Amino acid sequence: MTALLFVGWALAFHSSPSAWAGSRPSCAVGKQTHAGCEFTRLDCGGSMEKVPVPDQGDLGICYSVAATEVAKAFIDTYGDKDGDKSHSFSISPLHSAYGSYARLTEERKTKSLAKVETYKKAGKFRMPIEGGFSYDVLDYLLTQGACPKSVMDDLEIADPKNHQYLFQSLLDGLEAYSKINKIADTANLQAEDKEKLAAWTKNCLSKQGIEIETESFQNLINELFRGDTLAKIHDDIRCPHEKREYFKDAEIKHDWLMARTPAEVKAMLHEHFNNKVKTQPLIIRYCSKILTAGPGFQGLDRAAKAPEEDDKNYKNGCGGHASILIGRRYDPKSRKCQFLVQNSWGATCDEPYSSKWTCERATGKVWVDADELANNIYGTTKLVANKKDSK
Amino acid sequence: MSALLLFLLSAAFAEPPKPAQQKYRIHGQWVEFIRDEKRHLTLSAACRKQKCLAYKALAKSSLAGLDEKLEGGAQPGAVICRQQFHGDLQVGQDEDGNETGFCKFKDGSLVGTGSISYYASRPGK
Repeated sequence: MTALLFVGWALAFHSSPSAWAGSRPSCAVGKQTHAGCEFTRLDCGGSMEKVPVPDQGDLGICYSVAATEVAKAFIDTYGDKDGDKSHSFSISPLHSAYGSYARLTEERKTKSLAKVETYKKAGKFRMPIEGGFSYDVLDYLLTQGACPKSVMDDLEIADPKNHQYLFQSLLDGLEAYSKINKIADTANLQAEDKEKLAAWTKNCLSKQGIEIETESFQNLINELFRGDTLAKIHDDIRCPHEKREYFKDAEIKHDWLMARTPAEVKAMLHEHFNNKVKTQPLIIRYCSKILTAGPGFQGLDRAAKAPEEDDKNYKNGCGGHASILIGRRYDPKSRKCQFLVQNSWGATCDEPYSSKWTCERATGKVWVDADELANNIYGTTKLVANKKDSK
Repeated sequence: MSALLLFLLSAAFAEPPKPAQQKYRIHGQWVEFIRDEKRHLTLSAACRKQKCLAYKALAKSSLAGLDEKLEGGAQPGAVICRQQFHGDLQVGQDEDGNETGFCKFKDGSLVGTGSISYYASRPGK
């Protein structure tokens, strides 16, 4: 009987360690090592230890979310500009997206605004900051400083008729815009209020050196969301330089991989994780559909030889996305090497991720076969420390 | 003794992820949710009897027409929340600071945007 009890106890509490894990990552689980696929996990005592899983919501700023995660990991590893590692803070992806947008060339801004117009004609809405590049954001953060999320999170819309809150919420971007639209749609905001709001907003902006020449409420809203104005507001007013954190100089390494074979891409990923010195997370640009479609999905047409970001590069509903890789393991069950993807769709496994991948239920991080992932990656970006800091 | 043995054996072979309570901090307040991992469902605890708008909306969710909007990696469930349900998007944080998005409905009920993605992508949708 004692033996039976022991078997029951052993089965109950030791047969599936991952199933009984708490909300922390399963650091002790799946450490099987295989030549060329050594176990690495940056969120277990590494650079990603204090970087939480983000949720980007309905805003297409995955590139900025990924960049801010990488920047936070870098600061946590090497400290701020003085090397101080004592404080850890999350960086605002929204501020970073606007800040980097403000610094784009006119040509790229025009391209972005053209997309906004295309959407508008189709009755859809798109912000100019949606769709972008992580390396632009990292460049912005390195040169202009990082705005802590806490600075940007302090404003909430309370009463739609409260002009101050309404103006402040305008600065929060898309969410505020939809609220404004809702107010306009449901006629909650009367014409008189609109006039007052327009006048008040113009006055506020004027005090900040931003002049808007329009009398119409709707034009004012349009002007605010045109891109440049909102970017300027975010960049200069919402998070002034004294509220930002500055960190050590680093090099941004970006690789456009459509001209590489999947085997070459995979080798690059491995090379990144073979580096054992303060390994940093790696931003991947890839087809997000690999997460849901599972093995065999191929969303890239490498034979197209089209320029960067040309739609001809993608097929089968690729779902262009950016996430970060934070680990590597050998899966004895499938006998395959896998990489750990930290996505920006929230910390749950409610997402319809393929059952062929292992989703860690406490955090929503997903282990994906290295070969399948490499087939669907078209770019990588990372931060590299200067040599004197890297040891 | 046999009861204890029965308990241990059932613990061994039972599916571990049963509906469980989970708290998220939203706008500074801790809000209770029920997480049913088997059903890919995270629903506000106040919606226990599943008669709330958040639960009912799941049956209507669809990925149709979302492809363009998903450029830039937008979370599919969050886009559906806004476009199809006209709900409010809210971000909750667990005790470790990990974020999870929720769609809030007029009756105050909330459902995880991941759940919306899951139910919208089921065959036949």
